[in-house]
Amino acid sequence: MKRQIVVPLLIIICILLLFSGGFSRVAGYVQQPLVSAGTSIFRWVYFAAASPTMSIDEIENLIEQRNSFAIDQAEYEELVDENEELRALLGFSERTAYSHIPASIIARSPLDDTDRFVIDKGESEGVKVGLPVVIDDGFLIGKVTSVTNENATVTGLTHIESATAVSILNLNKTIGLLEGEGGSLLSMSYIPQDQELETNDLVVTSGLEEYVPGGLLVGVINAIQEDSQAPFKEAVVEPLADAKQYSRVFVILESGL
Amino acid sequence: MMRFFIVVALFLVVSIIQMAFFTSLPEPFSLTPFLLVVSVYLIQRFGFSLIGWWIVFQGFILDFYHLSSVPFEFFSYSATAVIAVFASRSLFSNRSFYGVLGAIVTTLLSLSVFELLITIVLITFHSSQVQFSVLFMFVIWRTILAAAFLFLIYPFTEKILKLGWIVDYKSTFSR
Repeated sequence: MKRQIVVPLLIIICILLLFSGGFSRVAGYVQQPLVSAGTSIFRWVYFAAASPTMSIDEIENLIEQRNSFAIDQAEYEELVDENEELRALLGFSERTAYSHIPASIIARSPLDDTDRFVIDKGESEGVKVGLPVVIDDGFLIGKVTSVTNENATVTGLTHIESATAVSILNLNKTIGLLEGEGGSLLSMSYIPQDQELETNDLVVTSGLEEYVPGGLLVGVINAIQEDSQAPFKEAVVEPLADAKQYSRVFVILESGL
Repeated sequence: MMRFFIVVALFLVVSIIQMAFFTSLPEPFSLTPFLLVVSVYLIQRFGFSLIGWWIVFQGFILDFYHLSSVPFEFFSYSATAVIAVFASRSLFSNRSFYGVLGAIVTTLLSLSVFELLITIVLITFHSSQVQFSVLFMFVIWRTILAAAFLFLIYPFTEKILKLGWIVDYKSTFSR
């Protein structure tokens, strides 16, 4: 009789402890180095497979250069827009920095196509569903899809259920919906036929989505799929950042705009 | 009481290694079912039936953090735990590598069947996006990696077994 009461009671206590804030924090200290170790192996294998003739440093330099050019171009486009607004509004405009918190990845999905991971920040630090998650260069990699008091689950852009409001940095600043397809590429749909796009155009967040500020870099157009019979055309977008290569991220709390 | 805490503590260690380290490795190694292999190995080789709860808890954690693209993992993993214990204790011999391998492959295939059934039921009643080709590849890789992983750890654990220390815990875990 005593055993029948004690064992279920212990199970309940263990489950409560398992998901209480204190335990999550302690587990996070153990999990973070393990995620970092796994991520380091991933990066090493990824770079070695990407180009056997180049060293890892050379590839990292090239990626840094590409990212730097992408940031410069996005900033340039933003500055042009801002300049026009400034002229129109006679000096009234202030770009406010985004409020963000750093977070560590403490667990990832066991399914590779799922592109979901758990971070060590939750509701207690102001994280809520829908907030964007970026890496150190400011590239968007996903959004918070569920949250507990101490942790949050982030769904990556490539996840099949992921959808983000974006715009293309072309002449018309074409807006559209960027959706994950379960693979490594993204699909941008609902682009009107009359919009002119080119491959290598940058794709940024449009700012039309709640909590997601505009101008966050997402990816570059890889291919354009046109069908003259359809009202819209589609673009294949290659994300600029892969969440699997990072073990630390930032959650943007407020756009400040 | 003591065995309960040992089982919970060991589960946390194995689960953290699975969720934090293995899932961060490059494809296809990130698909290694570390927790399932260790669980079935312990149930099969040493008769630690209580370890079946590890599989149930793993399903619960996947659902709790919404980490799996297959819904209701708790039910799939719970049913798999029953199959794991049955296969380990009644279907396959625990005296050879192939016996343990048979139990692990049966468990993994059962898990895949349960996941597939839940997915089909969900698609029938609700609109849901599932890529069956991806799921199929995942099942194949998971099975290959489980066999490879067992092939690596089996001789190692057998050597430890020969040292005799794990036998002391046999009475702690079984039943």
